[in-house]
Amino acid sequence: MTNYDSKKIVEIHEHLHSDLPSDPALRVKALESLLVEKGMVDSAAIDAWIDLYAEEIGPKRGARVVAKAWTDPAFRARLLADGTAAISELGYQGHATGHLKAVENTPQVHNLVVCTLCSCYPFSLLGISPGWYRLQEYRSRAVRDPRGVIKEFGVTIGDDVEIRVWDSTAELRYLVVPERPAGTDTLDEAALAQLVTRNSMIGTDILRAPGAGR
Amino acid sequence: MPRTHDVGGKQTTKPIDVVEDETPFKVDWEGRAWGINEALEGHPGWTLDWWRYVRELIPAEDYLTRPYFDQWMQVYAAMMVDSGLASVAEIARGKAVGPNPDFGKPMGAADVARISRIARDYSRPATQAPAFAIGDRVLSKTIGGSGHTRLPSYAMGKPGIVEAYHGNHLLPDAGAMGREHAEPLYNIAFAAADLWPEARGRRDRVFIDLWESYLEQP
Repeated sequence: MTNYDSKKIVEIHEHLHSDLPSDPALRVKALESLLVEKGMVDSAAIDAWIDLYAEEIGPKRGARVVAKAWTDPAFRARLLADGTAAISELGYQGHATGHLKAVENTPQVHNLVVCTLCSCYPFSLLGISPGWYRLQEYRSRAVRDPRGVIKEFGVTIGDDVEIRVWDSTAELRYLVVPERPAGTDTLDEAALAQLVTRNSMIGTDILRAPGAGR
Repeated sequence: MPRTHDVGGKQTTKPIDVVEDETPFKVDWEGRAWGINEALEGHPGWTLDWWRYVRELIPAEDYLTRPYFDQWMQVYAAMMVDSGLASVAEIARGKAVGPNPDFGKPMGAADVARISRIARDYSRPATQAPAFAIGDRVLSKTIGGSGHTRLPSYAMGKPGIVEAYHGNHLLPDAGAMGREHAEPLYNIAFAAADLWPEARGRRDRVFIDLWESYLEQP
């Protein structure tokens, strides 16, 4: 049974701290061996999850959603109204995207996503989160100095643009729909998807047309 | 408890390491850890918020220094010990000593594609009318003491405006204690100037999803 007793967990963490090897690779290897021996995990399933996230699930899914929203006004409307239903049309619903909310950048508004309390992220849509997204520096400063944080990524947001920061405290997850770059009118959905970066869907990047420079 | 995890608004001087490609796993063990997280169906008592709470209880020296997925594995290790599924010695050696728990068949490779398309729903049918309407002014509470909550410290005791109503959602504070309780969930808009002393005159806003019991009338 589970005790839900914080004091007991603190004691267990202290034991783990002193008794486990320090190297994370050794820790994970030992835990996997034990879970397999106890019949709680099948190593082949672990392999399958790794393959899925290495090949199929990743930022290219989000990029396709964004490009489709740029080129298909009816899809854009559905995405903004109910993100989970819209990405389900493409089969992209899954881990942490049961309550997806798309927020759209405009000339007046720039959106930035963070999780200050842990590192919540829309895994089935954007894949594994970048390392910086999980670290204290980003998590602490994104809510307080969003302009400064975005600038660290090499992007300046004008003073006339309102920045909206979304702190993922509940099971809602946020997808930033970046602005479509000027000069891309002749590109089709597939070509447009190539322009969409992972960071632009978190809000730490803005997009430019190919060859436009920064 | 120290709330080491509750970092919103804390002053840090280290720059953000912005240069990172889109490779999902930088080293092999990160992929194994992610795979364990996805393939382990675990104990029925392991709610999402109990999981989060167990991570928050990792001592600060480890929480602030050990890698992300390594901390996830420490959460599973601690939950297994707590639930009587393994001893610390078994986890340290990676070798079972005691009898194995009866969990039935674990998730197989053939199940993965189907399971990867399941999106969990944390909403529940409404059992009460929401106390606040979109556009209402609210004040976030100052929830003290110990326990798991999803009201960040930086947004405690601050005025905000109801931006959206999401319906009834499971309350994390109850989930972390193994109880299922749902209540109205809102998105609340806070003006940066109301959160940070240096933000006077800035029109930026921070939007936070907060449950009804975190809020009161101003």
